[in-house]
Amino acid sequence: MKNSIAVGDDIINLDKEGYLRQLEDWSEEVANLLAKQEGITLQQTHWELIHLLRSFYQRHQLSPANRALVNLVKRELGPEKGKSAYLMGLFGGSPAKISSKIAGLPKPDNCL
Amino acid sequence: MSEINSSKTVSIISRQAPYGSNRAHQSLDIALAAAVFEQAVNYIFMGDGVYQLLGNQNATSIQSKTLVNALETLDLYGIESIFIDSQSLRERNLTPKDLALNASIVSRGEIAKIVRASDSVFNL
Amino acid sequence: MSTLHTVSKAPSFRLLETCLSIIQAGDAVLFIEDGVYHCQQSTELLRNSEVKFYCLREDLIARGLIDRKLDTIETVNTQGFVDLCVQHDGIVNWF
Repeated sequence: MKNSIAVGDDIINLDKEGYLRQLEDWSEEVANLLAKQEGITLQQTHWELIHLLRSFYQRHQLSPANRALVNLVKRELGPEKGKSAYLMGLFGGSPAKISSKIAGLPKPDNCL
Repeated sequence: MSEINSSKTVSIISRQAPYGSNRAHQSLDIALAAAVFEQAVNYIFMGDGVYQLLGNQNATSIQSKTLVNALETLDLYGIESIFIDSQSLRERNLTPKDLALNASIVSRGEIAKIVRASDSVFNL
Repeated sequence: MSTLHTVSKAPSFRLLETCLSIIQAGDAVLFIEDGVYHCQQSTELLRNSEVKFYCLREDLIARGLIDRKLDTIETVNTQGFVDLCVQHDGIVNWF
C-alpha cells in the first residue's frame, strides 16, 4: 500500500492501511484513486453508498462496522441492498473497511 | 420497544457524565464490541450517566466528539434494549422530553431484575 | 482578599456543599467541565446571595445546557475565565 497519492499537484497522505490521514483531503477525485488502489472502478451503485457513509459520519462521527453498515443500508436504501452479499459484491470481502476507506472516513472500530 | 433479553446477555451500566472522564465512551465501546460478537446487550443509563442522553449537545466547543450522536447508532448494531433509570432523571430535574434518545424509562426494581438476568455486567 | 473557587465535577460529587461551607462574602464560584451540570437545576445551595456564581460557556454548549441554564448564573467564555482569575487574589479548585 502506498503511503501517499498524487492528485494534480497535491500529495495526499495515507496511513499504513491506506486511510486518509486528514479527512478534509477527501474529494470525488481522491475517492476514485483510493478505489483504484483497491482494484475497484466506482460506479453509481458505489457512489450512492459512499455518499450515504459520508452523511452518516457527519451526523454520528462514527464509521459503521459490518453489521451496522448492513442495517444502515437496509434502512436507507432498502432490503435489496441491505445485504452482506450485495455490499461484498461492490467492495469485496470487508465492505465496511473498504467503503469507509474510499469514502475518506476512519477505519471502523470493532470490525471483525 | 426494548425488552429484557433472557438468553446469554451482557449488561452495561453507564453511570458517568459524557466528557468529564472517558468512562462513558468506554461503555459505548464495550457495547459495540459485544454487539459485533452477537451478544445480547442491555444498555442501562443511571446516575450522571443520564446526562449522556441530553439533547442539543455539541462537544466541538471542547474539541471532543459529541457522544450522544454515536449513541444514536446503537439500533444499527442491534442494541435495542436501552434503559434509563427514572429516579436518576427525577433527581436531576430531567424528563424524557429533554433526551435525544428513545429508551425505556425503568425503576430501580426493574434494573435489579435486568442485572440478575445478565451473564455479565460492566459497571462503569 | 477574595478567592475564585472552580468546581469541576457534577452535583453528585457534592463538592459545592463543602466549597460553600468555607466560602467568604465576596468570593466567587465558577463552574467548569462537569461542574456546569450545577447550572441546570435550582437548589438551595445556589441561593447564597453573598457569593457570585459563574459558568463556562464552552462546557455548557458541549453538554447541551446552553438553553437549560438558570438565569441567576452568569455565563463567561474562556477570556472571562482568565479575567476572573486576575480579578481574584487566589484560586481554589474543587475536583
